[in-house]
Amino acid sequence: MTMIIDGTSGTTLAAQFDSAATFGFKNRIINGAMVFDQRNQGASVTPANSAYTLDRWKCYQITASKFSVQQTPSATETGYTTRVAAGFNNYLAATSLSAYSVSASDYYTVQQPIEGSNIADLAWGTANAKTVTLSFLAYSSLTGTFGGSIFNSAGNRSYPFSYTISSANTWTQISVTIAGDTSGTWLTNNGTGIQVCFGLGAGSTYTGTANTWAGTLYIQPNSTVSVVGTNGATFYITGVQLEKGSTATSFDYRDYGTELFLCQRYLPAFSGAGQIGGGGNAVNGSTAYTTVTFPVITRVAPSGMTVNSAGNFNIGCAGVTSDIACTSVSASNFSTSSALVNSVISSGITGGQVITMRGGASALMYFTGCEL
Amino acid sequence: MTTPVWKLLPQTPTQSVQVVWREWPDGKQESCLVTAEEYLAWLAEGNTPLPAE
Repeated sequence: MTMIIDGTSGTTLAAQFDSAATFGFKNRIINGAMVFDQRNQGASVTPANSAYTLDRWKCYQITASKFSVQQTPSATETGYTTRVAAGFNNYLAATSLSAYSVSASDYYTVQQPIEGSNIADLAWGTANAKTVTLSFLAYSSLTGTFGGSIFNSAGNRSYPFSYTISSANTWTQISVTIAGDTSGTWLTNNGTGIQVCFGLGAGSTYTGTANTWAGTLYIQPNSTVSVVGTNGATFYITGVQLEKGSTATSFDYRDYGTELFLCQRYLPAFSGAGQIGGGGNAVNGSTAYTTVTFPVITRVAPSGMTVNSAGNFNIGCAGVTSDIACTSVSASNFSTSSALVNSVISSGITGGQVITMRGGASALMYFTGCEL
Repeated sequence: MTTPVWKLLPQTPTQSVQVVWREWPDGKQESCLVTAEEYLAWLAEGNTPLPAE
């Protein structure tokens, strides 16, 4: 942005200050800098088909175990200084686990579904559809023309795009501008508005002509790189931004707390030592209920809950001098703001006693079913 | 890691929907409503939950 101050015109603001994308929620991608990995805490996982990995980042692998995903497996990958200089301390790393030839109906992706209410202003599916620009830093052990796609929730409108990584193991800044789709149905509610997808390999059913809208689901363009086709091949990505307008602007670097809140709309989670819930009561000598309130209102009520180990959670009870470790933990009565956690212990409490729930240093609890 | 079998938990008066629970060999425990997508997908594979005790 340029600011000009002179004695004639006073103060003049020019250039990006007029850009449609400058203010507010510029980047429609959440966790585009790959800072949050609440589920796996940086551990490598081989995601099941349609499973989430890093916060907001979902993976598809039609045939199981073709690639793994990890948040920042090394902070010193070849050429890491380029990434760090661009402002990104973390990245998503996908690694091929075999040399797999995709069949016609296969596809392998890392993708983010954007909630419809966060893209409503793009007016896609109307004559006033706005142009968007997708930008990101990409890195691979392979070189060539890679591909991805933007598509709608029904999977009947898609725009496969291509981009080039010319040098292996080198962070490359990519920018793709996409004219908004004037056709199709693009949800603007709390369902999936736009899917932003990076292809790791797709069969002929899911590949099509690059850089044009199609009335079917294409995951990536024809003849683009299949990462899962080479054993040990890597594909790293960070700094993902989808913004309104035809120019890629600087990454929308939101503060840590704000970005975490955005993630927790889809994955409320608690980790580490501290109080998790209160207002509970003992049902009998070994079972207690505690209400857990989520940090933010979730997109929809969760349908499940996961803990890394029941023994990492303790209940406290008036008149009982030491916390008591749980042997099993489950949850029910979900709403968009809270859940009822059912803790089982071996013994030590009495029905009717007031109960609180605490996590130990290694505790991890997250609620599932809020993701898109 | 072998996928554990879901087990039905006793439905209490405060619960409008029954809950299932399972524990993985690494100690991870999951619970979800019997209406949750992941559980329904598991049932669709022909699996049967353990009964509530």
